[in-house]
Amino acid sequence: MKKQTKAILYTMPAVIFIAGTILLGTFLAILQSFGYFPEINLTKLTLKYYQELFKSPTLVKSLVYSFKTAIISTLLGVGCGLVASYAIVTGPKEHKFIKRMMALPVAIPHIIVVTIVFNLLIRTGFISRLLIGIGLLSSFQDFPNLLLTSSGIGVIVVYFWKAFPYTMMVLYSVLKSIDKRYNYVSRNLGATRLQFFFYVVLPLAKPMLITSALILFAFSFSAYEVPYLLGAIVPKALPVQAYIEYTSPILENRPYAMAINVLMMIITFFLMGVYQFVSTRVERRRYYD
Amino acid sequence: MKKIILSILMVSLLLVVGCTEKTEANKEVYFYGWGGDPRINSYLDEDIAAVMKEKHDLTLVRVGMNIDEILTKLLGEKAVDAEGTIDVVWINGENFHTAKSNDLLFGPFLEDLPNAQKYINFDDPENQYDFGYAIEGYEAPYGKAQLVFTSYLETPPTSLETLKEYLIAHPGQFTYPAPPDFLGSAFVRNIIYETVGYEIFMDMPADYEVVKSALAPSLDYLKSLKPYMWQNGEAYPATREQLDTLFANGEVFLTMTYNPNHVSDRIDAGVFEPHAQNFLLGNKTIGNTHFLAIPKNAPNIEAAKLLINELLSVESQAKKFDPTVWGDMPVLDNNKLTDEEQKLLNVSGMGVGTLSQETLLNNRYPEMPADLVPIIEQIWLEEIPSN
Amino acid sequence: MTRSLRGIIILVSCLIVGGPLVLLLVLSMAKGLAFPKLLPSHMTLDGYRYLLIQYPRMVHVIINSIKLSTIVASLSVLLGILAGRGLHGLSVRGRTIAKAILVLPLLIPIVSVAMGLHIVFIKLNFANKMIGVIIVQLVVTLPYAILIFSDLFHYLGDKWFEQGELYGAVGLKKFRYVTFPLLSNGIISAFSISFIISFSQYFVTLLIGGGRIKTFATEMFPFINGDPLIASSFSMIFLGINMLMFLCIEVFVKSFVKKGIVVGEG
Repeated sequence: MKKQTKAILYTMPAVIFIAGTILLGTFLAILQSFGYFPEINLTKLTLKYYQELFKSPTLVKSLVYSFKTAIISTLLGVGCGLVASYAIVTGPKEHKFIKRMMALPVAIPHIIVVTIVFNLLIRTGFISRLLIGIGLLSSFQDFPNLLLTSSGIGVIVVYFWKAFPYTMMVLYSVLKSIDKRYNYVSRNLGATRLQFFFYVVLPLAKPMLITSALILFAFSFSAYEVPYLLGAIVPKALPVQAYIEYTSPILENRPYAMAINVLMMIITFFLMGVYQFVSTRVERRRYYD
Repeated sequence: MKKIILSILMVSLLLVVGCTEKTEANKEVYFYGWGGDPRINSYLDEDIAAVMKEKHDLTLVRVGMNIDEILTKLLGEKAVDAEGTIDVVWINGENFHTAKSNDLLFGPFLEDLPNAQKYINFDDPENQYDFGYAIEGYEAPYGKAQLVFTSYLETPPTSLETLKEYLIAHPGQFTYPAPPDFLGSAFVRNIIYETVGYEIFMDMPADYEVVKSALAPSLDYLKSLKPYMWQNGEAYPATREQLDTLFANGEVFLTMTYNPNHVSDRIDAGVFEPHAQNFLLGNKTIGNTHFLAIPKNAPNIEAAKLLINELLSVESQAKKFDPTVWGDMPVLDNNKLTDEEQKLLNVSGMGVGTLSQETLLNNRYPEMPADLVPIIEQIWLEEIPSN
Repeated sequence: MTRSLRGIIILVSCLIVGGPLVLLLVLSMAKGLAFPKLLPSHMTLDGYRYLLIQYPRMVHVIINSIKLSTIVASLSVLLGILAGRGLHGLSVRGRTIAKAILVLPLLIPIVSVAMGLHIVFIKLNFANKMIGVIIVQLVVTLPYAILIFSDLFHYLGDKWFEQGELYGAVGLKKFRYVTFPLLSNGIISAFSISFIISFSQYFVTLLIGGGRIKTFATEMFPFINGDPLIASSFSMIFLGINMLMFLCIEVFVKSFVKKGIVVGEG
């Protein structure tokens, strides 16, 4: 009991702080989505913004677009990050330089990555120039149009480029500490390297992997800058629509933007709920180990 | 235990840092506006700041903030009746309407400014209406902009018909930023003016159906261009800067801008080739004036007036007009200037690859009422990019 | 994993990450890099010159930003250690609830929250001041720190601490020889990520700080969608500052860890 109260005491400052600020801010944002915007004399609560949102013919397409770009970039980034960090950790060399290099993309804001990717992937961009330079391509007309299209490739590339090294950084310490001890034990018991990866490494890395994946997904699903600059006009990603409505000189559009934001929050919460459900089951198992 | 002591130490440090603020209130004047162009910034940070310091002993502090963020801030402050931190706002069209109708601005003040009385033509419609909305002295003109097009061609297409012919002969080399980007929106409005004229919009009700039926010929024209456009007119650059990059790389044959001197700056920076040239597409292009306003809760209204007055002086307008500084056209009425003042104002003239100021000012469309613009943007979005 | 496969994976990873970084560096100093050139016709330092020399008080802004983010990161680490330790001691149900609240900022875009908070902060007289900015940035960074320490404490369990106590390390000694060294890598990671998140906060700093609190981010972001030369020069400086801070905190923390136990990579 004493241990519990001590624990509660330790967590209280952070919990109160975050709960206070976030819940307050979110509550006000939700209020605004229901039409409460006293600054422009809108004080009646109404469902009309949500009605407009759900009646919108582009809602589903936008949702799918946001979801698609977020999930593909996250899965690819996390998957490749896992494989790459495993490769480095199980290698003989320490590769300190690589470790440091992987930390760099974390320090680069997304919109800067957008500029880089734009200059890389347009038909007259640097990848194309490289291919022409080494003779694989005869003119830039032969290079495909990758950006600003409904394929979402530009958006996926940007988020992937951030997710990949981030995952590597996050997993590195976990993998490093697993390696030595369990490796010897499992080899002793006759497991192949592949079996070792799937039955030992993966389960141990899973909590970290999933947490990172969720964080990355939540961000790439709800952030507007990247799809605004590199994504398609039609369908617009959800957060882009929210951003455009919010920055419109017609202030009456802001509650509509908030409704979109609330919808995105609900979706992310739903996914988090799924994660919680799965992880508590895993934890209960661990707790009883 | 130690952790708790450490936490207390950190929190006290936090409080100490957070609460020591310098109070030099009446010595500073705060200018808030878009900060994305280093040249515009330098004009204020170096040239104007020096003048303000010398003449009025005021430190000019420039804060780069987008107008929508500024409006958010002002609205929030208004809600709780708080004193603000902004003295002068650099404001543009549709946002002026929003700011004024929400009672965020101080005024009228324009006629109080000595330089306004001296040099501004109060009867010029561009100084009376901002995007169709009456100014009534609540903002001061700052500079004049006009939509121009840039290409590497010696004889670029200058009408809507010849543009289409050019596109058919050279497919895939033309695009424009998608509305609601400021520039893309202006381009679309320009096409609208060229296809259906501008007069009908000046008192058109802000009704979706009315606007849409008025736009029918313009939409038809834009749709007819699609198959010959970059990415078949289904994808569009998101910003003007992206279009500039495509142009500089030769992927598209033209780019566009609101600052007629942008081309000379880009040539100077080695981004555009020296033979880049401006031209007008159509009979005329859209021109507008951009303005300066004072928020109602400005901390230092007198300083704000001093700054704006200074920006309306002949010296400041001349400096601003210099293509190596900013290249933004002056708002002063030539009829009200002496010969010397006129000479001073025009000493640098327009830059390389540009059109003369006369050509621009004689071929200018006014901006339409602000509330029509979002409707047009919405219609464009629904009708043009998708199949 | 075979040697060659490992080699290929590492090489490709380096290219994927390193390539764009090199491009950024080149763009920050390039003049005349239109298609089809692969190398610029001239090198120029105009971008850097504008930022560091022409831009008013940029060095001052950089120093203030580093100060601000250091404070935020330090608070983040402190509260993160507390919360991480606390989470470890809670029941499973308590942990679930607490964690759910603590990771909220990761799931809710801070932009929406900041707009709601803005008005509250004005009323509390936190707006346009350092303290408001510190608070709102801390909200964004804290969950990362908490996640790092909660995982770390969970992984460590009680055994190290109990062992240490058995050997007589209690109170201050325990902190110096057991707790701190064990947490040192976590501190480095949590500080680094909190620092960089705080350092990159543009919108919330601008809104809550009211434009009076100038950070590197508030001065940098207006240029990002503009001239690539300026944007990339700014980005390189941004990157450099962050890398320097990562190095500093690592050296700083490790200098205290001499005789203790360290868990995780060295």
